[in-house]
Amino acid sequence: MSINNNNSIDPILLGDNPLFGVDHLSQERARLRGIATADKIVELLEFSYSMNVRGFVASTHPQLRGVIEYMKEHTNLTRIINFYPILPYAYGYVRQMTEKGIVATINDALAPASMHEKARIVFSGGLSMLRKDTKGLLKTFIDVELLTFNEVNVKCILLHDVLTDLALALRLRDIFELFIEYIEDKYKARAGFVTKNFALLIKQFNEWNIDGKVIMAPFNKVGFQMNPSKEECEKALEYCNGNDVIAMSTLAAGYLKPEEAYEYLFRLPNIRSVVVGVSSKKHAEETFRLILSRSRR
Amino acid sequence: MNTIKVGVIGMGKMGILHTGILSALDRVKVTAVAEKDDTLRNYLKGIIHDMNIYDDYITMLNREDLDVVYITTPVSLHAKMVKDCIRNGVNFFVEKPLAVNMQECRDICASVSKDLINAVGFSKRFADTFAKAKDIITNDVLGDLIYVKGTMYLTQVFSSSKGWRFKRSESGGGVLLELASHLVDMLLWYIGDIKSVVAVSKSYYSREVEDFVHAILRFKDDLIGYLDASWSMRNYRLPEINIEVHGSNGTMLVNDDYIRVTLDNINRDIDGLRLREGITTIYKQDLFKGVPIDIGGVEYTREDMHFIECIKEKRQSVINVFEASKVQAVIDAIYSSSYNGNWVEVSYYEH
Repeated sequence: MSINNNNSIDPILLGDNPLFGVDHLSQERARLRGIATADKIVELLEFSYSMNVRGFVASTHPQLRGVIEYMKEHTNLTRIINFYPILPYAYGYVRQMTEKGIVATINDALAPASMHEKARIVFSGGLSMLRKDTKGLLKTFIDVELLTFNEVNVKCILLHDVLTDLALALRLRDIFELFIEYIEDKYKARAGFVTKNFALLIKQFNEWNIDGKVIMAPFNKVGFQMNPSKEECEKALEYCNGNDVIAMSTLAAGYLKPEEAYEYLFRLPNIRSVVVGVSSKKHAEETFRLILSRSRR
Repeated sequence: MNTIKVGVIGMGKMGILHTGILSALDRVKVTAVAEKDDTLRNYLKGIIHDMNIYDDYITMLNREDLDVVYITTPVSLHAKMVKDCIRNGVNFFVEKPLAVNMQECRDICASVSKDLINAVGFSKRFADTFAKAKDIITNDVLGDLIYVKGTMYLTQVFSSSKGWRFKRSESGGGVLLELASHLVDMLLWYIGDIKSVVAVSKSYYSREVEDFVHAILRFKDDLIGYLDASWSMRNYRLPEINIEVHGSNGTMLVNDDYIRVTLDNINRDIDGLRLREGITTIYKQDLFKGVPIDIGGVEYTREDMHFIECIKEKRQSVINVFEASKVQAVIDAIYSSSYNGNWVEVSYYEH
């Protein structure tokens, strides 16, 4: 993983959801679209790069490894674009927990670590020690999740909203601090948090004096997924201090037309960046052109 | 009322979720949790410092002064735990399904006193689209109901899996009990009691429990319904319920994403919702209202807020053990019919 000295967040980020069969407007639509092949995803990334989109937000999805391999083999993208991984791949873990319970899921998830990180684990007292050491376990988890990104530029590593919001609800300051410290020290990347509770997270960060981090949260004209309300989230933007905000769900999961969505978004203060999911070149061109034209005003 | 003190039994996926939500609600505090797995308990001790963590729920019930207990364990343990809560006079929430069979549900219903506030985790009732669809049915928009079809599919089981959910002795059943109990609850809530059923079930991947179930349901006034469920269906990344209700005025389709109402010759307004002749689609985005905390879906927050309100106001939840036992009665009848191939009458708990 290479170190990116310029640590400012790219203004437009390509999101991976539509490429991996996720559609928050309609599961029916996602089914019809299916999952894009590695060559199609890479083609879309190259096209997006040509439109000045430099960042790719990607869950640590199992298929991502194949996409990165393809990228390395056929393009120079891994050297020029910035990755913004979201970890863990929560959807996969939740499914596994349903099938075999939490402990078996953790054991299976650590299996690659026992190969790749034997030295560190042996040094820390072996796997059985790790099972008693929750914080060591969390660090190993982060390492395992990031194995896919070993040879690409990683600008910011984001904690999935389910974990951010759980830690927020339980006010687990240690967990936020552990994540931040580990990501910044070991990976020399910016630590970020995805949340569906933006107003509460900002309030808590201000109380804990956490600043200079990256926060990805929904911002859209209809207030979809903006908790506890659209108004509270808009107000919190004014108090987000040194934290960089990436707006997500800007189209309210495909519900809004891009024109009206971005007209709203560009009126808001302190939004540093926007993540957009697109499923085709045509869709990418329309969307990015619109954002670029608005952002120049 | 003072802060409501909650204890949680079982810190698996649902236990952690409810602990998180409850911890973020005003005047609610999770003061204790019980988890019998040593490894999991150690992890919790490493992270959570302001709750008492027990290895045994009975000790937790004896030592803690709790207003409410959340039971989020494998279903085979529910009945005993519920009865221990009843014995200790503590209000309880139990994850769905209520128990592994109707006999256990009958025991629970017979022993619960009416002063105890209780709820069962049929969370779909709190999802925006499904709740609004209930309003549409209740307001008689569709006219005389003629036919209802409910499906629930998920891409999950494509090999023989380990875990308690796939052992009949621990789970009580397969896709119908574990997953499609949500769908049965929705159908009962929308249409009313089911009188009899005829069903077929099939295991293709699982050794002990069913992967597919297909059932014809006879409601009152001989309204016929069809239920189809599987967790071995491809291309369903998330559990997906679709319910179609056909009436003399038109048709309604509802799922997690939207409600689509098609009306022949009428226009209706319900609580600011304008339903017009032709097709009206209401998206979840149209219905969304923020919640104090969202961890993995606003319906879980609404579900917990509803239950906590019931505790504060000393009134029963909309989905208590008696309502939940109806779901089990239908499921038992479907299992029974799928064994003997005949129409089976649904035998509800009468109280």
